[in-house]
Amino acid sequence: MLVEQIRGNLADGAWRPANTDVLRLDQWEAQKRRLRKLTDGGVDIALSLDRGTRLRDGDVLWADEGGDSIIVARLEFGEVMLVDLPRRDADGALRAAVELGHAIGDQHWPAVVKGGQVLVPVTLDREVMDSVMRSHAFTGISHRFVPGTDVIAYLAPQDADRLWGTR
Amino acid sequence: MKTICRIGVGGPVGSGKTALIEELVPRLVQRHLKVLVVTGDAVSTEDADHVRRALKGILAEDRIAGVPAAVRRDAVEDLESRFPDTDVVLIENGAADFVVHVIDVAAGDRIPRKNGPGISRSDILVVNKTDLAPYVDADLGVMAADAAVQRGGKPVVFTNCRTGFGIPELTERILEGALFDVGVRV
Ligand SMILES: Nc1nc2c(ncn2[C@@H]2O[C@H](COP(=O)(O)OP(=O)(O)OP(=O)(O)O)[C@@H](O)[C@H]2O)c(=O)[nH]1
Ligand SMILES: [Mg+2]
Repeated sequence: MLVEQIRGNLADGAWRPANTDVLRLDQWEAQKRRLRKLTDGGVDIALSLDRGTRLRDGDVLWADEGGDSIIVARLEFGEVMLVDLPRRDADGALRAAVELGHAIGDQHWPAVVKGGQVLVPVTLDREVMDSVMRSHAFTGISHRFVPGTDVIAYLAPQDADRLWGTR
Repeated sequence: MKTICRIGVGGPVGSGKTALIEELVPRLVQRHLKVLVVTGDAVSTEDADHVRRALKGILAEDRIAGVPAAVRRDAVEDLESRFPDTDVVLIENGAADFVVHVIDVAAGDRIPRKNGPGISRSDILVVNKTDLAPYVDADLGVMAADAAVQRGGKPVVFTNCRTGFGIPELTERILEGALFDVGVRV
């Protein structure tokens, strides 16, 4: 089934479907404008959206005439690493930023600076990321992991694209 | 305005990304698709020149651009706006809707097991240079099995750009996975 337009979102409150089929997309797939994937119910969805369109959790991809049967996109986000940098002295902050940037770049991890913190998506495995961070033994830099759904609401489209887009 | 499908061809240095693009373009053109190419040149115009020579008579020179990574996104947009009736852009090492990740058999048959975002997350994994397997004692069966574990059923295609082996299959996978709404003009 070719889907070229989003019909609405479950949060609109306008939907009272009797049957809901779900297309599950991970954080990487959710950034795509073009995608082919099966729903839980086995419907082959071919998504072809405008470059400006961005999928949101609960987007209605298809609905029958009365809106009784619908297909909904469910976005499943993984974790994000939040890194805090020291800010007291300018030299220390600069050193920490360069050291962190060097380490992140060395791993080819995407990153975004937001609200004074550095955000890095967990690409494969949180344990691996954690041990990479600890092995650097940075001074004044701390990190923790939070669910991606906690940060997605605060991110501009280009930030989400930077973190999870295919580049 | 219609969105032009962007297909990224990524992977380690020398794995055969440019060679693969040169093999794919004639097949896509044969299907009456209008194609653009942005090569992965970092500092030279080596790749773009190579593609222009290889595709002489198949793709017009001005539909091929070679640009450094930092300005690639702009270059893709610029090229697309000059050729708005395009169906698909092949972008070496660039942002895309659909990603083909290319690895080299000669780099060793443990590469798929070692994983990495390109191995597990790409839309198609291409294991290129199958002709070199005997020289490096690479077991293609092991590579296929390991890749299948990491990718959960997403396609893996074995290719040899010297002979064209695997290129028809790769073309089909791209048509069904990414060009489903334009790839039907036969
Ligand atoms: N034997 C063999 N050689 C190949 C094959 N595919 C590509 N090559 C050769 O491998 C070398 C690198 O190929 P490219 O296509 O330039 O690789 P690339 O990934 O574009 O390289 P960069 O752009 O430098 O990262 C060239 O000499 C190709 O001719 C193949 O299937 N078999
Ligand atoms: Mg190249």
